[in-house]
Amino acid sequence: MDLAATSSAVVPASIAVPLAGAALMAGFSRLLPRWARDLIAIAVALGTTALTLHLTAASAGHPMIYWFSGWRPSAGTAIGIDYAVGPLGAAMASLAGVLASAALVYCWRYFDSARGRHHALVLIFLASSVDFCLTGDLFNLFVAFELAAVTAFALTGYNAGYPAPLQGAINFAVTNSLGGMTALMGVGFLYARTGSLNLAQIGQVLTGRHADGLIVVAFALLTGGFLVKAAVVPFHFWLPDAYGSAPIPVCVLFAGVMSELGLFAVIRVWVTVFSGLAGGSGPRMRAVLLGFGILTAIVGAVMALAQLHLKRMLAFVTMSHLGIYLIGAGLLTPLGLAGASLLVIGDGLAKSALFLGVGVVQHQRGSVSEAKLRGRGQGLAVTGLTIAAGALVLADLPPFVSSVGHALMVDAADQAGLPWLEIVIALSVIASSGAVLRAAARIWLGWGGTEGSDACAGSVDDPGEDAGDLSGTAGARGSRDKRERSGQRRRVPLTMVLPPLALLVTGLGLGLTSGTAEHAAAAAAAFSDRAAYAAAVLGTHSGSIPAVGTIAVPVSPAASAGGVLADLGQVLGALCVAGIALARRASPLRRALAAGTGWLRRLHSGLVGDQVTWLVAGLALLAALGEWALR
Amino acid sequence: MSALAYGVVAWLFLIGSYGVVTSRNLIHLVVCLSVAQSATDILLLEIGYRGGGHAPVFVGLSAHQGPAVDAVMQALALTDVVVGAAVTGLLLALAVQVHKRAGTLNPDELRATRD
Repeated sequence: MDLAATSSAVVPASIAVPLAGAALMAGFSRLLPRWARDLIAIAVALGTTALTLHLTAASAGHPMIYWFSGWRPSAGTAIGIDYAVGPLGAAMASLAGVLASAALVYCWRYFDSARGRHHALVLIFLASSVDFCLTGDLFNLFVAFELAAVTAFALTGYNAGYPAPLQGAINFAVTNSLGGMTALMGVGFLYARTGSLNLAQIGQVLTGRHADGLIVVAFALLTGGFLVKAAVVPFHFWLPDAYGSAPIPVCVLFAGVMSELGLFAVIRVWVTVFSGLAGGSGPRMRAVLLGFGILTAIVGAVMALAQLHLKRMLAFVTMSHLGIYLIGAGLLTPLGLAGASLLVIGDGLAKSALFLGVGVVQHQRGSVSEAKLRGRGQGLAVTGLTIAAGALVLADLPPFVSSVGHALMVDAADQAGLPWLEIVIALSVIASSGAVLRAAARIWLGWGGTEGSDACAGSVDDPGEDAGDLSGTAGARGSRDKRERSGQRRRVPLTMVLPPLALLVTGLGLGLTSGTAEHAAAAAAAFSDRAAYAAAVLGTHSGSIPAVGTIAVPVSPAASAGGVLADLGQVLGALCVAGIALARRASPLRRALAAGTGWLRRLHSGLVGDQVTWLVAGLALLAALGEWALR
Repeated sequence: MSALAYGVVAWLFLIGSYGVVTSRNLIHLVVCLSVAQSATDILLLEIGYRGGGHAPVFVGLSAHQGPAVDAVMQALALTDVVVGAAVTGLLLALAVQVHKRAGTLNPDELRATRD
């Protein structure tokens, strides 16, 4: 078939194109004028997006297996390295492509002198994200993990002239390197036990076996490494430091895809490798993953409410959402995974739009502090509307695609007999969206007094927020100084206004497309079908691979009406939270909350030693839980 | 032999992590990270090791007797060394920048991102 023939060439091209583009950028950028550099980088990112979108469509129904250099499995034993492309992974890769394109368009006028190196790093990051999503090989997964991580460290510290990005990059690099080491040890232990690095092959060898100590340790090391990247409590401490200090276009990539890839790897490895172990470990593993997810969702939401530094606030919002995705994926049902995937796409687009909007404010007003920006939003109306809309989308405003995902996740929780999860999700969504709405109302409407901001942010003499603010505005002040010479009040460039709007419109379009939920459910079902995956990769039964049965998506009118009502309730709740956070009369309540959460804020000390201590403790906890769940 | 190797792995990883946690100097911290990293390499080599095995070179040599050690694990260790070199280089560059901008190498004094 023609489609199959072209598709098989598309699979390796989807990583070769961005890598070649990155090499071009790194090697020849000095020879190219600035506009050519920008145009080529954007074209490469868009081309990669098109290739991965093609793969998303072409792999629906049956996975596409590509063996590099044609090293096919012999008699059911994998000897080469494969890409196992499914619609879910390809869709994640497409999201990375869309966000990289938006970030590169935005860069056009954001950096005063974007050098080729920045574009090269973004394209390598994109290539490694694609690799991460498509690969069927455990070691290749690790390599993609490390490649994405190292480029991300460099991108975080791109503004190396200021202390905050440097500290963010150092914390990020040290914790994630340790995570990479534990992941590699896990890979080694699995190889020692099974003699293979292919996910499907390892899964086949482990099928029906009872977990021994080595497998438990391998599970804890591997999953722990990926959870560091996914910024799940207590592995999350690096995330606010890195996201809060990275350049805005880089934040877009980070908040939209990077940590989500960690969760993707956790679920992929669980499904293909560990879920076949004897002993029915599924329900206990669900409890473990849900526990981590709930903790992350709540801690992130509470910390988001306590922030006045806009980027740091969005970082904690991202973290809260990661917890919600883990709740959905951790149900270990196709429906929950489908809901989480749609939320990843919908929220990822919205969070990226928010970061880009904050970037416009930083560019024009030279600050990212909510308190300092109070009432200074005039002249940035479009950006204000973008940020308000993005915050409402985060609260699952219908008909954006995140509301579809939210409905699926609620259904999945109901089916799993855990309907109270809906309350946890709703509370964290309301708190984190409310924080963003509060900031928008304060900046654009001038609501809320300055004393209110102090009470909300914690005690008045808390130096943390001041320190964060100083660093944030120091970074902005430097760039403002440059800009002020050319007139600070110039118009916002269209290349900075349009990308966030385009991302929001994409989310709206996906939400309005009929059948989005069904496609997501089918993709998640294919992703969760361990036996079909192994059969397709190893070719154990040749010829016709049975098409994956689509699972029923409950779209009864009553259910969907209830979903819409729940979504609207969340939106209303978020507006109420924003109102309470700004109302003069509620300041005793705010003071009480600030006092109650002070200890949590103090834990986020920004010290790399503390972060590594938590990481090691988390690994020990994970090993204990793995022992309980797997044996 | 084998137990000793695994003991060394555990010791290096823990002492390296301890060094990272308690470090008062970013250069020292980066070296401690490399110590922890070397635990990974030793683990991989130990997993691929076979007593009495010869080097996994199969071309251009007269046939060896007996088994070879696992080349796959050596490839993994080599990749890890490359990753480690990249991370170490990057972190040292960041440390140099920190010293330039903040005038200190003590991570406890560089508190730009605390909450």
